[in-house]
Amino acid sequence: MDKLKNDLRTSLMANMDVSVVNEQVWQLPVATYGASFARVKRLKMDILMKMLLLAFQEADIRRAATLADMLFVEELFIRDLIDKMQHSLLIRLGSKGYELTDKGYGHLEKGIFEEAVDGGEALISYSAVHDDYRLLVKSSSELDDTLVVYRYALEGQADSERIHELLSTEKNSAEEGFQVIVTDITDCEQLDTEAIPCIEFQLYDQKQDIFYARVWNTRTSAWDETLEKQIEEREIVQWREAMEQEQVEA
Amino acid sequence: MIAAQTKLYKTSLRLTKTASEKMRGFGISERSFFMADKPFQVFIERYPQSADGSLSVALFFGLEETAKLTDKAHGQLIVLHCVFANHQLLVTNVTLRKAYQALGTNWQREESIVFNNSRDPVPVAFINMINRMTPAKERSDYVKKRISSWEGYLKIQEQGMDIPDIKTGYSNLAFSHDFSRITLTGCRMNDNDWKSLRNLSVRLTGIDGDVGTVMKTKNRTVEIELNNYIIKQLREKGHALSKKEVVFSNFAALSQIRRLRQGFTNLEKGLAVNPQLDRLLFEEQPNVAPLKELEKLSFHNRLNEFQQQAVTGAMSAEDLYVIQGPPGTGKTTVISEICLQNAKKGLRTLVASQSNLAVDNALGRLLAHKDIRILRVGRTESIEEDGKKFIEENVGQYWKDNTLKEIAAQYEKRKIREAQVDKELEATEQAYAELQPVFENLKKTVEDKKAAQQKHGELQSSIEQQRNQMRTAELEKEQATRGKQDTAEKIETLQASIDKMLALLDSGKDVDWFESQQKRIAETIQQLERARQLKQLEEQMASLRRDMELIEEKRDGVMALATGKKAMLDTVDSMKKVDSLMQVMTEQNIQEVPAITFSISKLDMIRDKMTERKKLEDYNKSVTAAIGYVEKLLAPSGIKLEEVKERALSQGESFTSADIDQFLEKLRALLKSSQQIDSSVLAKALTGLYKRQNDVWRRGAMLKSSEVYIEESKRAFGQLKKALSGELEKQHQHYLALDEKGLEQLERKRQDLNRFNQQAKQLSVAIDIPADIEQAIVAWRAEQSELGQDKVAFDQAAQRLEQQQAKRTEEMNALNIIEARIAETDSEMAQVQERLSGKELELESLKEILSSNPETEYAETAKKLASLSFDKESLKQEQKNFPLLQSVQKKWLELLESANDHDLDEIRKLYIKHANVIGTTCVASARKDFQDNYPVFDVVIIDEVSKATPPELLLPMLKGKKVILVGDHHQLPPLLGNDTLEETLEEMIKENSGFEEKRELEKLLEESLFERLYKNLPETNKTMLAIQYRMHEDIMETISPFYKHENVQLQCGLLDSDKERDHFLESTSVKRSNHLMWLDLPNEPAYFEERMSGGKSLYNAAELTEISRLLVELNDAVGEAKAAGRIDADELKTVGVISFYGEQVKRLQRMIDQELRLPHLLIRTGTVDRFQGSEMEIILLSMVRNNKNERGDIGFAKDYRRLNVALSRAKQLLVMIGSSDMFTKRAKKDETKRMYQHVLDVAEQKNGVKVLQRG
Repeated sequence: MDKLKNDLRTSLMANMDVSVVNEQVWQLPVATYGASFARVKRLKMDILMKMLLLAFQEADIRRAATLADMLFVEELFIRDLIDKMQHSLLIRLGSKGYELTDKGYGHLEKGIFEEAVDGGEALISYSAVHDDYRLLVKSSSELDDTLVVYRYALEGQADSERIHELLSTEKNSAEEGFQVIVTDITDCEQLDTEAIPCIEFQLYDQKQDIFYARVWNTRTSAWDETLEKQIEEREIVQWREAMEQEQVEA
Repeated sequence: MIAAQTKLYKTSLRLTKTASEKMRGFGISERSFFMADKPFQVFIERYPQSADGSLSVALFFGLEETAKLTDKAHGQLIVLHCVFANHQLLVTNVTLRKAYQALGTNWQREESIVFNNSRDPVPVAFINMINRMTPAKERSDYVKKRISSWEGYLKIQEQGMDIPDIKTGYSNLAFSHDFSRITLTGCRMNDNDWKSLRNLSVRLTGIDGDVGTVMKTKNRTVEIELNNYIIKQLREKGHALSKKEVVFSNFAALSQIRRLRQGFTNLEKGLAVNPQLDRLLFEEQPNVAPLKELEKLSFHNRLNEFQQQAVTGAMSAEDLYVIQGPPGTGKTTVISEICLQNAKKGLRTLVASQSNLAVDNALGRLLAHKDIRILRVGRTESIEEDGKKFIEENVGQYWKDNTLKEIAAQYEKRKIREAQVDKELEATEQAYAELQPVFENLKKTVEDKKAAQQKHGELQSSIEQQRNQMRTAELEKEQATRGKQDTAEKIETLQASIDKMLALLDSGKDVDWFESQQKRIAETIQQLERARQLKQLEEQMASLRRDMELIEEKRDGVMALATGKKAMLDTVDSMKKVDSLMQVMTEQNIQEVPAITFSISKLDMIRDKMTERKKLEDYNKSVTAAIGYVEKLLAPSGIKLEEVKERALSQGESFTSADIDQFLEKLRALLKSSQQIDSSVLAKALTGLYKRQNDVWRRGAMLKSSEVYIEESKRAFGQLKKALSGELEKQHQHYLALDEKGLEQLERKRQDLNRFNQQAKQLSVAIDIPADIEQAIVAWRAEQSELGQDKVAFDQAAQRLEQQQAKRTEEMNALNIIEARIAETDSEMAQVQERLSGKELELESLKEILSSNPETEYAETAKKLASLSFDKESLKQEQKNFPLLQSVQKKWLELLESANDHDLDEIRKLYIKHANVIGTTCVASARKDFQDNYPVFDVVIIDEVSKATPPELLLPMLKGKKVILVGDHHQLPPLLGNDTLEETLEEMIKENSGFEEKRELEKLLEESLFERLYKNLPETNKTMLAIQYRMHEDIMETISPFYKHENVQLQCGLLDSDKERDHFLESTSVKRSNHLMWLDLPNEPAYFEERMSGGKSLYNAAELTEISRLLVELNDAVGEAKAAGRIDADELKTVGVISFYGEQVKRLQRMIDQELRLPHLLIRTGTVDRFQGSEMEIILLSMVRNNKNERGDIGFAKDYRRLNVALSRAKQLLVMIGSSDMFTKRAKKDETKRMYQHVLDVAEQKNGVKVLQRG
């Protein structure tokens, strides 16, 4: 930790005009959630085609325009798809309108068919301050008593929609015309709160007469803009006042 | 690439030996030209006229065609170079050419040609077609010449560009406080490299992608401005890069310039989609095609009149349309509408702009409509938030979101609608049922009325017939009555005449009576006439006697005169004096006959001569006496008198009498005055005297002697007397003659008198003569003629009586017949009248039914019924469709909601395939991949045109059949890199870089392509959007003068500026009513501008302080407004703090970041130039310039376009902070002063000027 701190300090001091006014290490509380989710496996199938097959099955439709109005989809798209489906013999134009061929029925069935596959569980870390969700790769230290908690930390409840979103991007997969999809979050509860150590530098650029903050976030291994902005917004004027005070006293 | 596919040409083709050999070399068989079963598709390009004037062309064979001829071309094209010689097409050379961009240029024509190897002459049509073409080189030279004026832009950007990548290590990398820049130290480069770093792009080993651009180098450090998209990476890796290595490269900039150059080349080559593009761009008066007629468009956005005009114009224009859009006038709305209209017509639109931000802004504000499929093309990392959803990866998502939203809305609406439809249907059906009987009733009424109308018509025609009959009868009766009257009158006359005749016959007179009467009257008349004659004679005799008396009297007078004359003759004879004779002449009235005149003159003359003679004698006496006296005086002097005399007489002089008098007088005076007179004087006097004596003698010698004159005088007098006596004698004789004549007259009268006397004695009268004889004769004559008439009447009466009586009887009969006819007509009329009354009564009874008006109501009811029926049917249809629609849409919603990327993949492909609004930057539109995917657009819209340089504009223009330019030349011109053209120029001048195109650059400053096009295009091809919706009208007033020379004036589209642009703030210096303010700083040293040491940019510390104070005040005011509920608690007031100077902006930003805490404000800072295109609720403008320099230089602030941009950013409140004296009084140019004075005047008018007290 100290090495990291030194490295960071060195990099900051690369600018000769900058001096560190203050530096501290504190911890940012990040909630860890355990989420269970359900998954299905189904044929990769373009939804508009599926919808067209369904519609032709249900109603007598002759004109692409009718469907375009119903579905609020560009007629061009529908015509393109109708041509394609006719070409691949999924539908044909009957006396009352388009109708599905046997092949079409088969295709639609496959498209609708969903095979339940094993669900899964995932650990998710949620930073309320950042409103950020991500998969927890390895659980690190718990809250450290020696470190103070971030002074502007927020208490927040994770949003399961957002977790679903995260899991969809992370856990969906595809292979050979099939895809596995996270369909639902079956269970989600907060397990504990992780502590993310952060290193804060309060800096002064003499040449430009500028105060600013740098916060190294060990969770992301990067300078954390959100935290810097939060601090700067609330404190910078005070830092300046303090400095001016000091100068007056000195 | 317009294919001019017209018709098939057949022509012979001959080859030279060279050509044949070349062909064999390329493996082409000559015969294959003539064997082919299909015509060749050939691109023809005309060469310029050769020296001998012969026509020459190149024939390009496309890849397919080439393949037909040979398999050795390796992807190249065969080109036949031909001349027309001896009426034949002769191939002189054959070459191969690279296929890329060689075919289908605007200078070529594509034609179908069949070749044969005959010796037939080339068809005339073929030659004519080629003759009509412009030689490719001419067109291309034309473009080259015109486009050279744009070279300057590229040359500026190309300066020092051609440098290889520079790779070096560095020792230190430091980030700026806000991660916007890095500074590298410890780079190892040679001096040349250091100099060329500026504006190069930077890569750091260990970081993916370009890090940023070199801003400046100073003291061997490099300052780099970071690209936004790279910052995240740098925050992670930047502090610990394992290898400290940097590469500076010019590649990005160079490839940009290369693309711009390529644009020039493509235009030269004729590769513009619109073949007229070069002409449109370069001709003084762009020759645009006339607008095509369009049906009235229906708009999807709410557009004001100007916006409608712009859209309609842009849609109807065939090649070029220009829209001038002042700040806040809704340019983007217009662009959006044009895109949608194009989409509806199946056209593909390119929306291009100079910057990514502008492209994204424009796309972001397009209407979400299913007919519009927007695709944003470009480097993903440089695309802004607004444009992100339109990039390829995201369009599936974007499409899904929109469709889902729309379907969900429809679905929800339909749920409500279903119940509504049930109710509506029920209501409609009921209404229909109720209306049906009403309708039937009305129908019957209408039919009744129709019947009545028919009857009415019949009746009227019958009445008309009766009336006609009546009128005929009346006419007949009238005629009969008149006949009756006439007859009665005639009878009456006849009767009177008969009565008179009877009376005459019964009066007892007969023939004898008449005769005696006649005789008596005739005698009386005769007597009377004789009396009248007598009377006349007596009167004549009296008159004669009176004449005779008069003549006697006259004769007595004449005789007396004659006697008088005789006596006078005697008197004259004895007269001696002329005067007596003259008196006689006057008294006797004797005329001066010539003899008399002659004698009188003669006498006068003689008298004059005698007088003169007398005078000369007197002078002679005086002069001679004087001579004697003087000679005596002179005698002692010894002067020889003889000589004197001789000398004097030698000169013959003449003297007037007065002269002589005077001379003698003088001499006398001389002699008297002195005793002793000088002898010379005396001699002189003597000379004078001699002379005068001589003259007197001379004159005397010319006169005769007195005796002669007396004799002559007597003779003349005798002659006069004789002449006078002659005259008197003549008069005497005259009177005697007169007397003789009188006697004769008298004698004649006496004879007349005797004759009359004789006549009178013969006339005797037997009757009493009445006093008035004439009257009596007239009376008697009348009686005589009356009697004559009576006699005639009497004679006729007997025989006419019978006649008249017969005539009377006849007339009586006629009268009876007429009377009978009248009675008949009367009865007939009575009958007709009766019938008429009957019909009229009937007509009256129809009136009521006819005056009713059931048709309108009937028609309305019918319409209502029809519409009810239609509603009913459509509601039923809707009701019927509900289940299907709901179930389909429900399914669709489910599918959409659960759709993931894989599901949307097909849609994404379709969307990209059918994308019809493509957005990209000007330069990116020339990228190779873009060119391949989108070679042609139906319409190219370029936004913010005035911000782009012409070379940039050319790139998207090349691709459009139609080009629509949107911009405002009253806002700022393009930037070159980070600098304006002016700044670049200023720097060049300062650096004295010897850039030879400096002049060229100045020229470019003056010309704006957009401005020139806008000014020169006909009205039909341009519009100014004149209604702005951004600024409070007070703010707008400040910029109105910039647009006053346009056809229309800038107007404010806000209905109530105060309400719609209320800032809700109340503070010490800013009131609710303030929208335009000028915080006026004194023009004094404490408030002056300052220059950065070593820098070129200026700042103003006093203004910084003022702005700081003002920001705090505004922040508090927002807080207060929130507390009072005027502003939502979580709203932030947007404030732009802008300045003409970069250094001031930098200091403002620092101050805001570092010294102020303003939680209620959302502040952006920037230079005025950077703010073009943005808007904020509140704008604070720091004007910086304030000095007492002689030059009164206000730098960039003098450009009205910059001021226009600065003033037009604020929606609610604009505060200018600076010295008004500096800008309105000390500025160098008058027009600059006026420009700022106007702003100050408006601010003053609106009570917005706050003068800052010194200290």
